[in-house]
Amino acid sequence: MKAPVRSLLIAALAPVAFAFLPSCDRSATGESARTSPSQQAPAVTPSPRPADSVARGGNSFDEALFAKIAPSTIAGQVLDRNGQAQKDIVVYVHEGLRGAKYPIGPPVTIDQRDKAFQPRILPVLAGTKIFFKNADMVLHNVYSRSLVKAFDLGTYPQGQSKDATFDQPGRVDVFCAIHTNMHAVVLVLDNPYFARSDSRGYFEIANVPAGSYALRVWSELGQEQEIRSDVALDQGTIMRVKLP
Amino acid sequence: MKSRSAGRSAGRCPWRVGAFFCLLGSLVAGAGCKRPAEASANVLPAPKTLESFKPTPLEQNFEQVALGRLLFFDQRLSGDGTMSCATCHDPAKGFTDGLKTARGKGGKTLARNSPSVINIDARAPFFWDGRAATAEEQALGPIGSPDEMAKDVGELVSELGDVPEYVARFKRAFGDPKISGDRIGAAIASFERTLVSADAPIDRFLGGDTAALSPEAAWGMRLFVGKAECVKCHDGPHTTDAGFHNVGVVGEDVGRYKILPIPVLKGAFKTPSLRDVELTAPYFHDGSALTLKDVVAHYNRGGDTKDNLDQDIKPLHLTDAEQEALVAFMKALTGNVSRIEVPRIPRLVAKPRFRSTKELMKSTDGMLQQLDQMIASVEGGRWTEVRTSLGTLIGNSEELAALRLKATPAARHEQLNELLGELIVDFEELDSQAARHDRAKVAAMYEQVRTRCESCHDVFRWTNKQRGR
Repeated sequence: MKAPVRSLLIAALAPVAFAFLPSCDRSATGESARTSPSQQAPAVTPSPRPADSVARGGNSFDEALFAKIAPSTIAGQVLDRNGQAQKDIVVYVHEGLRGAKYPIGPPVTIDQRDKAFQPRILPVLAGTKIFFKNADMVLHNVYSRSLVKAFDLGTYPQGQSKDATFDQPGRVDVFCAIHTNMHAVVLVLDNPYFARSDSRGYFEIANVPAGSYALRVWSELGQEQEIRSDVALDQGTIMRVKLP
Repeated sequence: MKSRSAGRSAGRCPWRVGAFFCLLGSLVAGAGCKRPAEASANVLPAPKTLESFKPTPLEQNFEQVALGRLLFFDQRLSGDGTMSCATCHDPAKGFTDGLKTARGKGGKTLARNSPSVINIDARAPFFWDGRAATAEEQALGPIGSPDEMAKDVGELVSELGDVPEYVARFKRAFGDPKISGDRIGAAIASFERTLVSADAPIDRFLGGDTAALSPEAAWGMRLFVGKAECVKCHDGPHTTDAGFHNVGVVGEDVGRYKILPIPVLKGAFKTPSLRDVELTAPYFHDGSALTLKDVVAHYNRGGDTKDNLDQDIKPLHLTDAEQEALVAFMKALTGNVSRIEVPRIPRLVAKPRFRSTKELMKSTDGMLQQLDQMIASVEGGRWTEVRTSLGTLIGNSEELAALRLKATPAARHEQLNELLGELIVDFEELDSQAARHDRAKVAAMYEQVRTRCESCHDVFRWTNKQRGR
């Protein structure tokens, strides 16, 4: 008999989370470019080590978050090595889907507000159109020199929006040419089964078809990590993710 | 030198300074004042208007600061030995040079105005065109630039390696005596981080002291965030958006566009922080505005060229009195900078005074005597004598360092280099304690210094004996 909620404990992911990778292409603008392909080494450690790392960090996973996980849902929480909840971590299904073609959803919007992109980190399905809306009283520009998607939407004032469609999967670093501290990352994915962690570190990927999957944990500064998980129709799956 | 005393606290990267105030939000039409929603590693979490600057205490390696201070003032950093960082970033001139545009190698007039280095991390990205991301990287830029200080960094590394005091200081600062370009940049940046301008009238005003601004300056502040729209770009605790704008200064310089060829950046230059702006005339990237009044007049007429002009630059219709008020407000951004004394630069003696080992022995004995004399002066509270003795000791140590190049066998070379370097740094440290009349600290260091002195003496005596045989 199966437990109602399956639990996966993921401990030490990869060793080099915050080091810049050798293949990182940093141009003169300070633009950090695409991440290199992640290592395929499975980072799942079913049980033994997490207890140790949790104890070291002080804080532990907030089990209350997982009290009601819907069926066919992958939900979880991301903590750093010190046990602090991590927002803006993207978890997505990487392998195991059966080559379906996914309908592209409605356009999404990134605001330029208070001289920052909001949200700063946005995962989207390939083919999605993103509007960049200037909500500030000052002019902003939107551009990217990323390999996956290079564009310059030009410079426009408060209230105006311009859009770009992100067709190719990969990481796109978006900047405002005027204000150097403004930086967003669009993570373009080839399937819609992804989620971004909120300020509690919590994320939830809903309506995942039953199956066995490789998921990836992506963070802005880190290397992607791979985790394996099974999803059954009648139950949710919990992932407890500890960043290195 | 014009310098003002202040505390030694300082700010690190502005996005790490937690305690920003945001009191003036309501004064800016349309710009709400919200808490920073997103604090991430490399993005300013910024709903900002004018904010007071609360420096946080530096968590710093003070050995790196001390080393950086020497390097900052050392003319070895230029190819012809005539320029140091302080040539263009003169502490007496608000850490600038007072010139329209900088002078480089051989007095060559360069294209752009020397910026200040106070509150250094708030100036990122560095240079008028933002081509350096960090203060460390910036520090190395002018040294290697053929038009500026024109010093080959490899050559500099090797020259510093010949100076025992530098070797000792690099060892103390970084744990091992390796000298490299990166370490030179890191040490200079560490020193620069101690140059903090804070506690300006504006900070006291935003902290609740309404008397801190004169009525005229307070009016100027309202104009700054209102009618004159200065705050659109000069916002936050450092009055800069870390942005690049074409503000209509006439000239051929394309500025940021050369680094990032996006149309809006043609003729765009970095928004400078206005902290201490009163001290850093002339203004703009080309120094074309001689006074703050000229700067305000420039913006009041909406710039001098429409060529790719930022759309936010337009005639402001300010009266004369309003323009004066803005100037008065900008003068209220002058804070207290840590007091900087020009340090004694480590010498490499080319021709030592000592001609024979006998003279040398006499001198090393003399050092021990001088040291005893110094400690006697400390006990007697004769601080001027103490500092004179230490000056002599430092000078003699440098002479000895030069002599050992000839007089000692290679086997002892390394040992002496290290001992003399450490000794000089010790003497310097004693001197800085003596300058503060800190009897306890001097006494506490004395034994260690004497032991080092004796070790030097032993090495020389040993050398002498070998030669006598």
